[in-house]
Amino acid sequence: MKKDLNIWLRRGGYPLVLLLIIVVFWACGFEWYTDRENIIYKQSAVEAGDVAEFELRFKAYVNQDYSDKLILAVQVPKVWNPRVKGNIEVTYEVTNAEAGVTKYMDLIPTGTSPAKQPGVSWEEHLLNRFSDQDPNILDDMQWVTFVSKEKHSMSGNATWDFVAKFKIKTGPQNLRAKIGFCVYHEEDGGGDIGQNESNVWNHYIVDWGDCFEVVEGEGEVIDFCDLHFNQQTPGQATQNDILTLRFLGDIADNDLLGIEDLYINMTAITTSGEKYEMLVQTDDTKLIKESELGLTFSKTFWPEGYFNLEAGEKLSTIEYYFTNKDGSKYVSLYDDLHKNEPEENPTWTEKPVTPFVFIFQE
Amino acid sequence: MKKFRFTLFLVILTALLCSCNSFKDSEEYTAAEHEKHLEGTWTISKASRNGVDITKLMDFSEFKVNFKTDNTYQIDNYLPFLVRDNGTWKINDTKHPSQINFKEESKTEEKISNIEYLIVKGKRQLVLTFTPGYPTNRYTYVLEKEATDNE
Repeated sequence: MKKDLNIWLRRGGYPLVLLLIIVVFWACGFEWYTDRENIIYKQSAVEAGDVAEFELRFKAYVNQDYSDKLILAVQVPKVWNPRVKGNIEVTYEVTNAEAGVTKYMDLIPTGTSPAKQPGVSWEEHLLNRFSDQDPNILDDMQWVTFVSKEKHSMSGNATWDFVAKFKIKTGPQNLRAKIGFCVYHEEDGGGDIGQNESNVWNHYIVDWGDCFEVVEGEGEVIDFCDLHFNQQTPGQATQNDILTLRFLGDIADNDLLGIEDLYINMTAITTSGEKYEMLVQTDDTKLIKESELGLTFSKTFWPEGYFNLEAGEKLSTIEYYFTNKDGSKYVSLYDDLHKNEPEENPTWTEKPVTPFVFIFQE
Repeated sequence: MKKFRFTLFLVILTALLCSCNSFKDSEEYTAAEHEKHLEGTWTISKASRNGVDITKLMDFSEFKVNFKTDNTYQIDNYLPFLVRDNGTWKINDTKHPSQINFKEESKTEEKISNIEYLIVKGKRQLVLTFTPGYPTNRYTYVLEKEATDNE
């Protein structure tokens, strides 16, 4: 039997087996791809609370007749409340087949799992799979996923050009962020990671646009795009959240570079103007180094307890800067604003202290 | 020989076609469930904020919640949590608890959290998720039950 099999394979069986493999895998083929600038911002900035419009252009190739629902996900700052009904409208057209026919999509309910990732929600799946590629430097972005109302039928051996349109209501805060987009089809939702190589299908498209800005809004700019000496997590918080204030000590030259015994000096101000100061260098204000690699130091605390607020007191802001053990060297907003202009940022003791500001939400 | 080729062809084709499908375990497993007892004092062994582990960034060790047998609870050294004041608690199912309800003494409405009740490395764990501050900030605490003399 074994001998017969070897003879058969030698006489031409190998190509037949290979052909069968190709035929079967070809039958499962459905590929997403892009071949041009695929993310279009209709505006590079909008005023706070206005609707921002974005376009995503992509293609699908199938080698046989196929019918399935389209899945589109968008990643935006959480403060835009993207899951609130009506805050995001997603539509699409197939421009080379049904130009002018607008198709609408529905928000996928919280907790729904992708077909290929049972037990994991769409939001968790997208966050986990693409966190390494996400160019936003703060973790206050949120994926929301939409599914087409109807299955979309595509004929085999054809390319289909899609243009998806996103209308997204922005929030009241000033911010800068890179908007993310992702494409799947429903039956392959969360499918294996694809590669853009021959004989390997792309199971999804994921990409981020340039930095988009919300202006004329409330508070300091929450910057998801570029690094600063300070980082505030979460970006939006009340006094009953756990707040982390970080010093990113190695993003540019600064007076605290090379010092590991660092502290944060803070002044908390209530809505009635009462001030609580922690302008000392003690264990309570000492920063911890987050990792052996890099020079990121942080203070994490529950503001209400840290400043020992009286019942009914509400925090409005925290002003803060970073300093060394004896308070002789410091880095504040002044340093951040001038970090790319070393001649404007002299190492001297009279350098102004312009504190960073964290603004609490109601 | 022709019969062998045809048989081999069928076997390969069947195997390859089946590779596109998924299979479900056809067997059903059953086991008797014991009642879960949450009574006792629980402390935080892991804390995450918006999916990011923050356990090592702050001292969570002083926080304690004591679930008493009379269905009252007591919180010591409060940190952001589902409830702030003491009150009463109950779970939705004593054998398969998936939800816990808290009612503070001073309030009328209940606060509800989905829970996972686990045993990890021999220790009982209770996982709660809640939003105590800004609505988009979700916290998950993994609580571990303090050992008592009769455990």
